[in-house]
Amino acid sequence: MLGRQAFLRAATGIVRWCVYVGLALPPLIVVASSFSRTTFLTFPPKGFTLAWYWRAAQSQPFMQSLLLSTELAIVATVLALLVGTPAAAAIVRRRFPGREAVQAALLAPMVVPLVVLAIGLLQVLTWLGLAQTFAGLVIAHVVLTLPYVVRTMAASLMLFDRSLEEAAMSLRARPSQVIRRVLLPILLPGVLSASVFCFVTSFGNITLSAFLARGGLVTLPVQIFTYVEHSYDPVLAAVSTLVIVVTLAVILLVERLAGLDRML
Amino acid sequence: MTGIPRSVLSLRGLAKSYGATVAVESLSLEVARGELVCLLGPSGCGKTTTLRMVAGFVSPTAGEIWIEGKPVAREPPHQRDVGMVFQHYALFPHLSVADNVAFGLVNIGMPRAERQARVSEMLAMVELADLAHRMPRELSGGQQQRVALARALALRPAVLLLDEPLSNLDSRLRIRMREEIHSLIRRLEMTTVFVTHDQEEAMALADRIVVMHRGRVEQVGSPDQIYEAPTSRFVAEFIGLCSLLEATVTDVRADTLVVQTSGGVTLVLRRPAVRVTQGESVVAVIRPEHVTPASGGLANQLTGRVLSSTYLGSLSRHRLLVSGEELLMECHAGTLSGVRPGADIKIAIDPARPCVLVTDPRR
Repeated sequence: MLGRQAFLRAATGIVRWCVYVGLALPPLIVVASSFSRTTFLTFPPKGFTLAWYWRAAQSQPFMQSLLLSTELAIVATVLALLVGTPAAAAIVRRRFPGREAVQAALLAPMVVPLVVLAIGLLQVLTWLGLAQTFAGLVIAHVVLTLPYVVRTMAASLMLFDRSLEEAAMSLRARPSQVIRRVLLPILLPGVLSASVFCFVTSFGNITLSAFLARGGLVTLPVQIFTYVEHSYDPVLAAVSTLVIVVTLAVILLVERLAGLDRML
Repeated sequence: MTGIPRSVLSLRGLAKSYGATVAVESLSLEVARGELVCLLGPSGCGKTTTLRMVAGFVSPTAGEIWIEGKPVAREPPHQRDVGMVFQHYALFPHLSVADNVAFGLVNIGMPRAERQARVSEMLAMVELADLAHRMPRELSGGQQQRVALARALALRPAVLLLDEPLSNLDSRLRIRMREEIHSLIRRLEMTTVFVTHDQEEAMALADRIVVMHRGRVEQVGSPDQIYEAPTSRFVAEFIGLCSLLEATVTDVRADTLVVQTSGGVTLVLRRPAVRVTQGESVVAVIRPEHVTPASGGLANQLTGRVLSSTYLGSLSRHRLLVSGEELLMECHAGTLSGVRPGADIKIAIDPARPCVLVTDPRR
């Protein structure tokens, strides 16, 4: 009996560690190879240098696209929150004709293949005269990230105890005070978690940006993708490491603000 | 002020229906200053809906709500002069105890110094001054309850509404909190409407009980009126234990009635306030304590067979069979200690105490 239990424990332990390693290894390899002295990407890295980071920092295309991607992710996140939160509230709280359809439409970008979404958006934005503009890119990324806001905020709102709102109202809170003093503070973890999902999704997206970004509007993932077509040096790894760092920084920042355990 | 007692809260023909479902059917009620009124009834009787209409969370289908002489039925909740304690307290989880209590004061823009004084006063009142900086999740159920009460009272509302505030506490704490709330409300002379499904709670707290059933008011009266003189079969059965004996009136005298039960027992009972005629069908409401072991001289001497006995500490309760009808009897535990099920005992029913219901053919 004891033998079987010990075996099971060992087996689940092994499986667990395989999963951990499988998840962590690709980014770790990228980070490690960014320090290699070789002129091509290799793992394990040979020697140690920060030269590739210097090269990346000197590269105007990379730095411009890093800036663009960050701006884009921030603007898209804010807009998606502003549009998605009231939408989620309507879906959770109101009963209106076509509610199911609206819900399905809001979540569709998550299930429709991104290429399909990209082609559709390209046509719509061209028709609107917004193709290859920052505004067009923002619209596309809002569409991309909206489902995350709607899903996360709908879940938060579903769990929200309505009697807290009633308590606030009976304590003389005007509707605006109810939102500011009760609803938002309690929903804050949900808002932050939605923000993380949005930021990371937008920041790492390549399909939509590749279709819509031409000329000066090249996001970082697209820039990396283009770069890899003609060279394969550790600058790539250095830039990719920057992407990882930015993403982690956002998650850690939010974690400090709200606590991931409360958030998810 | 004018010498005429004016109601603080007045409900006039208040009704709520959801489609074809009637939740509350034309309820009228006047609550005087400092009065503690309890809405009592089983779940789904409309008591909570009524309370929520007063608070403004449910808009009535018809009728009026007046608070301090002002019609408020169309006003939003934040413009009504009521304080509410919720069943699950609804404390704001992100605010400390002190901030919860201060919440309403901030909303009305009370200056900081005055606000702090009021919060301290409220917390002292519910004996929670030491816990001012705790978060709600760090408090016990009874403490949360008291914070909820302090928060609702901080704005000094005209009417305090309590929605089953004791239902989440264990039984010992419930009785203690019940007494605390009671003495606090009395001390503040708060006009209070209290919702409960627990008849003991209603009895212990209320000046007046409104018994509700299926959206209708069954009876309004003081606890002893409701218990001693129920006006319907529902009220008789819902409040306390009783045996209901169907009977026919055989004689109407000055103060008493003579009835014959369907089992053939003849009883002399107190004459009800309503008009009763000979031959009419009535129901005798006999509380367990109206039945006593027989001791010579009393009217209504009967013989009953003991079906079962339950020992309840200071009391014992016996189920008896009297001429084919079941009768409950309660007496001091020592009185019938040797009696076994199956034994025949002599009993008497005090003629002055049971209440007689006139059977309404429409019920």
